[in-house]
Amino acid sequence: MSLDLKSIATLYRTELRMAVRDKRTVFFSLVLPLALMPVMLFSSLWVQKKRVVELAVMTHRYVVTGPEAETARAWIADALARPQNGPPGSRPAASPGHFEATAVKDPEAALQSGELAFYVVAEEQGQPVGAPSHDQRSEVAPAGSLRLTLLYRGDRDTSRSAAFELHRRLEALRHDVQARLLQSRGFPLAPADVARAVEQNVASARQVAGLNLGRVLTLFLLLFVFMGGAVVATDALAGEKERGTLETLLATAAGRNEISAAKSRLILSAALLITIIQALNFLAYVVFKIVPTSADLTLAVTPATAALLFLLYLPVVALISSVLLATSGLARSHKEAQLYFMPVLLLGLLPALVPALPAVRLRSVIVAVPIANIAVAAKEILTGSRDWPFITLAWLITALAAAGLARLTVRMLDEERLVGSADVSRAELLGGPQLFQRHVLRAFALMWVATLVVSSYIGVNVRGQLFFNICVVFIGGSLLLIRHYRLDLRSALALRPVQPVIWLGVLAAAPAGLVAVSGLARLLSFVLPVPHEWVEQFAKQLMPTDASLWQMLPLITILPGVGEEMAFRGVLLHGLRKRLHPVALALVVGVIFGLFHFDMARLIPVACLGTLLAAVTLLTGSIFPAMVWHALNNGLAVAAESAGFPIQDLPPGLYALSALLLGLGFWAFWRHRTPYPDLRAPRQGRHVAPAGNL
Amino acid sequence: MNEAVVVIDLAKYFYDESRGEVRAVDGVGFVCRSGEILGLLGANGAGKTTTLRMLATVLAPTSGSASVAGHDVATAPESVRRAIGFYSASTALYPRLTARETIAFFGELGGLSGARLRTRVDGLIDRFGIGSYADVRVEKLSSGMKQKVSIARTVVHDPPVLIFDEPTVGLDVLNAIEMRKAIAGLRAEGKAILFSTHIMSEAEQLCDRIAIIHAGRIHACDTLAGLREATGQHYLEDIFVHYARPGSDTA
Repeated sequence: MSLDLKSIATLYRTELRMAVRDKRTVFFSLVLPLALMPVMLFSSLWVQKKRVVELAVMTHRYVVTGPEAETARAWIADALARPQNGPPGSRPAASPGHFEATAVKDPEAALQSGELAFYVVAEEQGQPVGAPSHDQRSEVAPAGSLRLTLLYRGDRDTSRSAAFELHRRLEALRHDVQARLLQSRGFPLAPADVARAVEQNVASARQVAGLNLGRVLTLFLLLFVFMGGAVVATDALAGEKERGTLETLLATAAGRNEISAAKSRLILSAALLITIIQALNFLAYVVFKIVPTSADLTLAVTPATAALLFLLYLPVVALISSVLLATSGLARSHKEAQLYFMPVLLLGLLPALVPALPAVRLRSVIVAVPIANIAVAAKEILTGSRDWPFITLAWLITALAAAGLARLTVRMLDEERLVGSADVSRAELLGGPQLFQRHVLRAFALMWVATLVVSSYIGVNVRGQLFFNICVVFIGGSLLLIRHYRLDLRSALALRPVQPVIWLGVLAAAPAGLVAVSGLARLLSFVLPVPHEWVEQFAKQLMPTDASLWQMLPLITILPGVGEEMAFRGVLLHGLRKRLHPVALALVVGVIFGLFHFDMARLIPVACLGTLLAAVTLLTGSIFPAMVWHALNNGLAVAAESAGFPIQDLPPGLYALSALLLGLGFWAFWRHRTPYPDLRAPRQGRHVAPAGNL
Repeated sequence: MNEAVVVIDLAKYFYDESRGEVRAVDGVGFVCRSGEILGLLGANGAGKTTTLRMLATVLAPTSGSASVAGHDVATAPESVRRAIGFYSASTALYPRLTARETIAFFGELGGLSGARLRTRVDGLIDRFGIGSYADVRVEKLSSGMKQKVSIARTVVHDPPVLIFDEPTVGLDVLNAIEMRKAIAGLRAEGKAILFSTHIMSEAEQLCDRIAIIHAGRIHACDTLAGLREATGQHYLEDIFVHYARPGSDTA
């Protein structure tokens, strides 16, 4: 599809001119991003300073009550007179302030009203605690020792911090007295020196600051991009529809592709402008410290790191631009678009929260999640880690997502509901197989989420996962889709007989494919190394210690062979058959199959297997060869693992031989092919063509 | 006169959740020649706008065929759009562009550029008397001024076929007269003009031939004299009612 660049340039220039003349756009895309960061930084700094100052001069009134109040007052005065260093290893003072002992009739009421910051009940150890809300049990301690209970209001900042500060000082005094007592009785060491444990942070301040910044950087950037880009996007399509200028535009020589491309570029320009402004803000305030910033943000980011981060965020900006344009395309008016933007904003910000989770690494399944992968990559870059292969992969995946969404927006402009009176298409009104083709990917996305959620809760229990995934999601889901969309069972599941010679091909290709795919995975591991512990963990999951081989075999061979094939090479392939060229169809079905296996170590080999199974289904027109192949593949893999046969570690010659056998198998399939019916024919448009050869 | 627009059995079905399948246009056919104004006369909801939108390639036909200036609307929509100027009461102008910028923008999209574009824009500004507000933003123009700018942007790229969908809706009497004069002037230049309206007098004054459209079908297509002869009625309103009543045959 070639684009008329001249039209795009004309449209883009005019859209830009109109955007710049709109005061709202200028405010949200230029003024606000420029002003907001320094305002936030200044505010944060001011609040911090104010807090410290206020707490330092604050007077914390307290009362001492109870049978041992006199002794306690002297003890507390002693503690307050000490220097403000706590016991070794304790945290620094939270709330210096001034402590003022006072007297009130009802300490509890005075605490409630705020007259007191806290009050102290002083008793001898062994007596029940006098405060009304406490449990009556208490440990019996040696008689004669003092027990102080500090009662404070946890819902008040000053009350809590004052009580904690006094507690800290009392603890320091207690340690000192304890040490003196022991030493006076001949104890050779100070208690603090017995088995002393200290912690030492070996990460540099830069790395720690990088971690703190990395957790929030993507979130803030997305917030600004959404806010600024949304104003431009709302006008781009929803505003045009409301004004009536969209129909004017659609009737000109500019095609829908050109119109969509120009509008995408406009939103992308606004989003990029905001990103550049934030990058400059970041450099000015955090790196070059033109204005003093909070100590938490102090870090030395080199210009190279800043440039790398800018490049890293480009696909995120492009993706958000596409999201904004698509959202605007869905709405029929400004108001409707604004209603959509809030949930889109909230959903869009969710992936940016991932860096805040502990132990999330880029080298994990996160690399496959757009935006989240870039957010984690940014955090790792700021902490000094550079996993180049995975950074590149994350960038590519997010860029592809942006491109895919941009294509979707172009198709949206083809929707006649944009300018017409119809609110549904024929397919949506009539339902059935035609509608299924539009909904199949959504259905599988839901199935993916279901399997992900359950696998997160069932954890490493393989049998439970297998049972749920296969019986409930794949088999149950497939049958539900067939029923809901009134699909023909035989067509949807490709339940067709095959020529006998095909079975010979399957028997040869299945083991050859298993070895060849392992060889491919091994080859790829030189470029994208897979940690050995991932491979070992998968092997353990495959053969749990509490189950024998014969117990696991049916679960791992027959169930997936039937259930997964019904879903992927059955319903999914049937639903996508008219939308994709057969080769692309096999690849897409394979990749989706791989994604359902949530395991980075297995993604590529499983996707390859899925592609091979889809290819054999397309060549034979039947699901049965894929079922048998799948079962054989899994059975052989388990048997090899159980027997200690190292499929992942064979001589290269064996991998090459297997690849050759696999090729021969496919040659046999090709020679005796019975093509899958009703596919999209190569080199034709979107119209359905009769069954064609692969 | 050559046949600039040829429509054969064109149909458009919409799908509505509450009404089900709606046949907005149900097999219309007509021809419009260069230097002629063909009027599509029908009540609201007759299918006029849908027909014209299909010819402008804004909507895709469900069935049938149509060609505009020799280009098929289904297989060569870009070529069709280069050959038409489309004006509808529902098509608007960009409020933040000036009148001159608007005309130039549509001229550029129509394939004009450089000095040729500037000359053309200046010529249209003079022709339609837009000079005094050429550099004023559209949002500040009156409806009459906007109407002139709209006509100018419709014809800036000198298309051989013009489509006007109820262009006088919302205009006062004087502006409506101006609009009709402008359209008549374009016919004199040899344009093929499709003109839809539900105002009988307008069709009578302006159109060379009138196609009466009702319930998505063309019931008659002839000159006013021909329609009078065929129906025995004199006034166009009576002629329209003759064809639009239930049970009348398609022409």
